[in-house]
Amino acid sequence: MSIIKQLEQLGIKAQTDIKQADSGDVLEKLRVGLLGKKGALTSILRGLKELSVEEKREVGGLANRLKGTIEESIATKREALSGGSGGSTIDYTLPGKPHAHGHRHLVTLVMDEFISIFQRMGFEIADGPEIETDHYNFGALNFPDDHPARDEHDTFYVDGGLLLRTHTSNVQIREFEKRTPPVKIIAPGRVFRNESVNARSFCVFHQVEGFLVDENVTFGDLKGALEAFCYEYFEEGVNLRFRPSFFPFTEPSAEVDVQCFLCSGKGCTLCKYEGWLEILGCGMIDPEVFRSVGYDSEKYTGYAFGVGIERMALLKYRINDIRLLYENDARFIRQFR
Amino acid sequence: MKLPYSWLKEISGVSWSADEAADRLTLSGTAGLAESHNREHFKNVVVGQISSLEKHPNADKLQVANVTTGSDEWQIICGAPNCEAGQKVIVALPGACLKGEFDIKEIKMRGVKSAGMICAEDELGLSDDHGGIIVLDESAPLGVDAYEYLNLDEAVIGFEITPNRPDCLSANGVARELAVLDGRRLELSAPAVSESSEKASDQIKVIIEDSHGCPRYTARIIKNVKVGPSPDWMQKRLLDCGVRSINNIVDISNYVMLETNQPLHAFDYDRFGSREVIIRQANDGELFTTLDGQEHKLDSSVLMITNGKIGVAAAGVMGGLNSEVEEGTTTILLESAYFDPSVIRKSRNRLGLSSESSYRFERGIDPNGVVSASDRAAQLMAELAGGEVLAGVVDNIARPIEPITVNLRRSQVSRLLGVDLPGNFISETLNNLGFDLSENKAELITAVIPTFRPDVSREVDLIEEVARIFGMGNIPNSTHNSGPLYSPTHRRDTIKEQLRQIMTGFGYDEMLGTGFANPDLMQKIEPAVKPIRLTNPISDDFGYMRTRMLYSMLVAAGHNIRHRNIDFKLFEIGRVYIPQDKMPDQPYSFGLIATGQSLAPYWKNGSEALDLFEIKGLLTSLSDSLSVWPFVIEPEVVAGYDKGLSFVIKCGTVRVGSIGMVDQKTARLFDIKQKAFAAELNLEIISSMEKRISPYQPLPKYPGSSRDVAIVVDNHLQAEEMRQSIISSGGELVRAVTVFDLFTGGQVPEGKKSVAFSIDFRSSDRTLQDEEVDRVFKKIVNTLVDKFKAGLRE
Repeated sequence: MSIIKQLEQLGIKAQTDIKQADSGDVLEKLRVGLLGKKGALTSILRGLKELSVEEKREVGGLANRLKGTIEESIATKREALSGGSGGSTIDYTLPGKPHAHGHRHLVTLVMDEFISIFQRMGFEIADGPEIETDHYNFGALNFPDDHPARDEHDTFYVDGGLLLRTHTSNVQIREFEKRTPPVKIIAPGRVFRNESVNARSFCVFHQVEGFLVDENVTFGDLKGALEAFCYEYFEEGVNLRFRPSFFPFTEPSAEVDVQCFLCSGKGCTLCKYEGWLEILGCGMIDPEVFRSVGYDSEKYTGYAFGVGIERMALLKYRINDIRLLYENDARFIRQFR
Repeated sequence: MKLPYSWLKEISGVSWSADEAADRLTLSGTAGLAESHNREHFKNVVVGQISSLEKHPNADKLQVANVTTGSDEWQIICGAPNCEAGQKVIVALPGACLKGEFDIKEIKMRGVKSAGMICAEDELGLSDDHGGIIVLDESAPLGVDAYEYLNLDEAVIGFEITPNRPDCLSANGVARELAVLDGRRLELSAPAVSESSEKASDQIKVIIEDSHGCPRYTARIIKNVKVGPSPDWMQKRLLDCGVRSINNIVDISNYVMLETNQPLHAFDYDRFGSREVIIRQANDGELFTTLDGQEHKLDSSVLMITNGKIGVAAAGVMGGLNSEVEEGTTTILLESAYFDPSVIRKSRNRLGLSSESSYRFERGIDPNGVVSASDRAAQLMAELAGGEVLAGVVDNIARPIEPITVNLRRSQVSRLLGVDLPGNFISETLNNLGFDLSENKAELITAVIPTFRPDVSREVDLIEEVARIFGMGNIPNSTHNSGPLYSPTHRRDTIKEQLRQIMTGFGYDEMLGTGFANPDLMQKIEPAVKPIRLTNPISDDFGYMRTRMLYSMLVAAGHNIRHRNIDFKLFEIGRVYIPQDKMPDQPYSFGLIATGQSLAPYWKNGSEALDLFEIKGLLTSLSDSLSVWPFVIEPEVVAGYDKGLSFVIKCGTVRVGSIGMVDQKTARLFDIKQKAFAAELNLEIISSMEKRISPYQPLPKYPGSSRDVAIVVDNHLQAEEMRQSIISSGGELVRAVTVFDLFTGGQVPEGKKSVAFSIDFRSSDRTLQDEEVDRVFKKIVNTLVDKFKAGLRE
């Protein structure tokens, strides 16, 4: 029998045997018997040396193709035997290895978002002390002694006549003293108010204060900046309203409401049926503040605004008890990302 | 403050709905919300009459009332002191749900059946008053719905008035705003008082000894008044304002205050004790009993109204018990005065009292409105209490307060607001607000500021007036392109952000402490530092400022463990507060705490309890990520940590923090009974360190090889010492030495341990041959054996 014939027959037999194999072991034995060092294919090819060069080339090619076909058939059969195209018998529903990942505090998450927006708007970040003098927290910000405006800031005092800052506006004064306009800064940080602790108020919270002082800064610029912020934080085109208000360090002063995002202004429990949610206070920096830091209010104007972080966080996630933010129950913290 | 909208409409003449008026006011700076009472909350609440009243057999303070509602009889138990047989009252019957939250059902109280409730104002949500049940006019029809009878569908606007706008604490003030919004100037007509021929000045003198505290004081005398209930319309209006009706004289004072903003005080002239009113500072130690029965020891910060001998009222704050109007009072001495705002603020702080009067005086009332308010009250006392008003007001002006003038440059309006206002808008608005313009030119306006607007004294204040009436929403938004070209990031902020990234990446959750600390617990954790004390704390636990992050870590850990959450890892970035001479040091710091299982249990390899090395390993990652010298730990006893597991963290030679196992005795104070590990870092010190930027290291060109060695040594020897020995004896071919196993017990003798090292060898200029590596390895092993008296393990 010619070598070619032998190869053809081997091919036919191999396919039949592979088809009949009923386990991986049988298949492996077959593979060794066919393609192993001492296998059928090798022994047939021993006759190769008696052939001419031309014949050798022809037979060689055929043998290689046959080898490839057999290997492929074995592989296919092996997959079939092991039960599926993935070739896997594992219980893929078992949980994957847990990779530890922690969560930022909700206050940080909201703060990060605010800071990121304002940084993109060109504000620099500054910081100031939390235990502060009366001058930086009140006096230089045009809160006269013995004035009812101070009642709006229930203040903690510490030994030595200092106080816990009631807002991050102290940073305004400290930065103005160090710089000449233009000044464009945000001051994120922790503030304290001596308020009764209950579901709606807590004695510690966080604020981001922002301010811009330059020539020709207008109330329209303030509105533009805050609209940009709200569009970015809430959604493009969200309805805002500016309500005149009172803060000693700004004149005119305003409070900004955003249309309730839960009821779209129709009135619901979140907005207490007002249709609006108060989100921040702002205004044009009062000339008295400029006077206290030596800026010329005939040359410069400026705006300032302050946003409370906790309030935004509570609104956004509809949390009904602010104290949860400071209990630090890990199961609470892990809910936010 | 609440005002019924009908009143505001009556004065201002506007015709908007209550909601629209409230909206317009809100958008011009007088925040208001219109509300009416919910009819549902008054279902089964009707007018009834107490037909008889007996003592409760089993309770001293309760009475059993039989109440008729016309068609039915009800037995109702009542505890109010002012309850009397024959009174017309408001009863809530079974099925009622007061304020939408309190269901009325038939119940037994101390063994006696009670089929409803006789209501006080607070129970119905009409005011905060719980002084007694509501007593109605005798004419009130039995069985009628209280909602109808009390006219509760009327809209009431609740206001939040900012401290700069005392004028808006009154119906006249808010009505003026409404008129301005309607494009008009409100003109109020002067009250018409018919006076007798007898002169008030013959009956009373006013002497002001403290002209700073009391710039102006007026007195009127009204004779032959009959004290009794006010007419229903006034009671109703007061009720809508949230003020409880007392009697016609007191009600008139309150009514005129709500109308004009001028607090008034009515003395019983016959009990006043003299014919002269003397206003002076209180004497140190002077005793005075206010209307509410409290006795106060005074000092000179309190301004007093006296009869020349003793105090009869704490000026502007509260009257005295000794001269109060009573049922039998016939002659009224009516005070209408202007007191200095900051003096009243100091007075009421000293007294620890605050009243509707002091609230207004300390914000500033109109010094030139005192007489017309007095006239208005006198007019009402004549009309409603049958009084005879003596001729004239005794008016002592010790320190005149005149209107000021303020200049406004029109160009400044657009400079500040960024909008050019139309034609006459500025001057018309100012005029409508009640500001007379003594000058009104192309650029300059001079406004005369009425004394009811103490908040307006500067150009910018006038600009605000114009802005709020124009409507802030009408000012076009714009963009100011200025400021620095880029904003620098500070290293401390970068470090804070990196820490958050790394720590959350390692499975730590971020917590936030309050910054406050309980002094005893704080000092247990850090006895060396006396924490900063709050002089007016909320509670002991919030009485001091923390000096260590560890305090907040333990508070949070305790909370979690108490709530059955025993496996957690937390970190915080915040400040600690260290007292210093003047300003305290308030460095940003980092703290972490970890306890329980390191990872959630996993089916392949179970869970693993946390230990010190877990946190030590974390420190290595932190220093690497922050690009500072590696954090290394050195044993040192740091307060709060277990003495045997307490270390300082150093970066190079600089001490940057501490790490350890929390001292178990300390931990127990926070309800932590399991092992907890913690670390703290001072971020100010780390921020001040130069960032290390190492140049690129070429990647290895030639393969290396590695050898392992396990040695048995005395337990007290340190792995790091051995590692260093391997590095130095192995020379330049040694690239890395790692401890990969530690073993005690079993075949290892008592007092010894087996430490296994894996050593990597590599050369940068050739492929190492086995013989060469073996030679170096042998030298290393021999050195270990010699130096550490080590035995070799196979």
